Amino acid sequence: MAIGPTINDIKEITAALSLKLKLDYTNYAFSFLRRRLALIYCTLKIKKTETFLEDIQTGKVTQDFCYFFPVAEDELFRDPSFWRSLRTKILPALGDNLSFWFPELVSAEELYSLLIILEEEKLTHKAKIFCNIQSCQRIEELKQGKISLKNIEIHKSNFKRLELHSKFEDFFTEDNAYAVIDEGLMQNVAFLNDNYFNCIPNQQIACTLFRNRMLYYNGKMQCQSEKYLHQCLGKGVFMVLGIKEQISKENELLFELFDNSEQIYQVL
Amino acid sequence: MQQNTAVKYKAIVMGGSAGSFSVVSKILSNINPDFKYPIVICMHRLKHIRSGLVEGLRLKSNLPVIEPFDKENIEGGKVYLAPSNYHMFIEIDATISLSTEEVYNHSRPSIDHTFMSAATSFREKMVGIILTGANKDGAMGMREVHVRNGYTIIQDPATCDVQTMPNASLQLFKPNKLLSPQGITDFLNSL
Repeated sequence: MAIGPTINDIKEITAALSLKLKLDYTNYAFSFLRRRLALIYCTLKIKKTETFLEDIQTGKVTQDFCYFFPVAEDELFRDPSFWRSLRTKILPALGDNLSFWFPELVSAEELYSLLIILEEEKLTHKAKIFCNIQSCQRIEELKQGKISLKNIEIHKSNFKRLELHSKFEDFFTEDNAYAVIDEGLMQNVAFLNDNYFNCIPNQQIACTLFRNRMLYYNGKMQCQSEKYLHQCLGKGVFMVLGIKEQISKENELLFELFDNSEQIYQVL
Repeated sequence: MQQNTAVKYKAIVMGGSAGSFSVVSKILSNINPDFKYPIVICMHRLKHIRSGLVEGLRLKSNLPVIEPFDKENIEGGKVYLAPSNYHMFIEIDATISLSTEEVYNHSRPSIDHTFMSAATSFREKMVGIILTGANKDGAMGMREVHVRNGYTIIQDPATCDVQTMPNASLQLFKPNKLLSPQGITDFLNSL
């Protein structure tokens, strides 16, 4: 039977992970670490923390950890009003530089939402999209272009709210239990198999999509992340957070609010 | 039981399904304007409707009603309503953390998640209140509040439109009080 990690276990595990994966896991929100590691213990059937620690150090479980730890988005076009803003406000403001960056992409839904908006605007061939993903398995899944049909009604309902000219079926074909995205939409997507503190895109970015990622950080790590992204991105670059996230008070002079209701910022 | 009401609480945490709107409205419209504790509410709501609910409660409430941002501090005399399509957790430092983690009990926000985290953070220094509702979400969380010696109130099923939620809690533990909506308001105003 699987066990859950204690407070001391969590401290030891996050320290080991930070060393191994070169990302500060000790500054994720503690309650999130407790929930997420409990889920990982259960999923990977971990019976002893000592064994788990050894497997982290040898690298045996790091790919599994990178797959299960981050929270995957489960809706295409979550918050449709944001995607409308992207289409009607951000895209017209970008000019010729249509380079997008997902510093911490977890699942297909967020990426495919962007690809569909770009295709609707006939911009697919001009755009370049960079995605940092730590899990090799996630990258392979994303390359296959599949999303589960489990939430298909939610996907379609969100899509309808966008009021696009195209139909949902214009972008996907059904294949058993999956909807498969038109592979032509993926032509300019580049995957970076590392975290965004260690690896960044090799060209100037115009818009960074970082929605609902800092929810899982504590205040210290959020501040560090904002400062780091500010350094990486040039003046005027768009940075999008989740609708219930805000730039921390400490860094509010580094970013300017572009759209209050959708939490879209621009780098100052 | 009398001893519990004498201690200072860090928060009042309330949960109910979408149908509990009228009960929550009634409580907030009759609560003392100088009520000193924070009230945290997790109510089931439509995923894709961002506005309306908080505005509706603001119209009725004697206290300011806030749909919090992530990492917002919880302050006395304010009402915090879980945003749609986010789980809402209470941290040990009395801040709110939001999450897009998996739907739980067919719900996001899930009442169990809010109660569980509040019970961990506040232990005996909280009041947990479960209201009318059509599924079992919240029952396990209320049990956790009870186990950690928080003060527990279940809306009297006889006064509920749908009894599933309070009955699910009653099957798991014996609450400190079983009250009508008016009784809940009177209790809060007596704190």
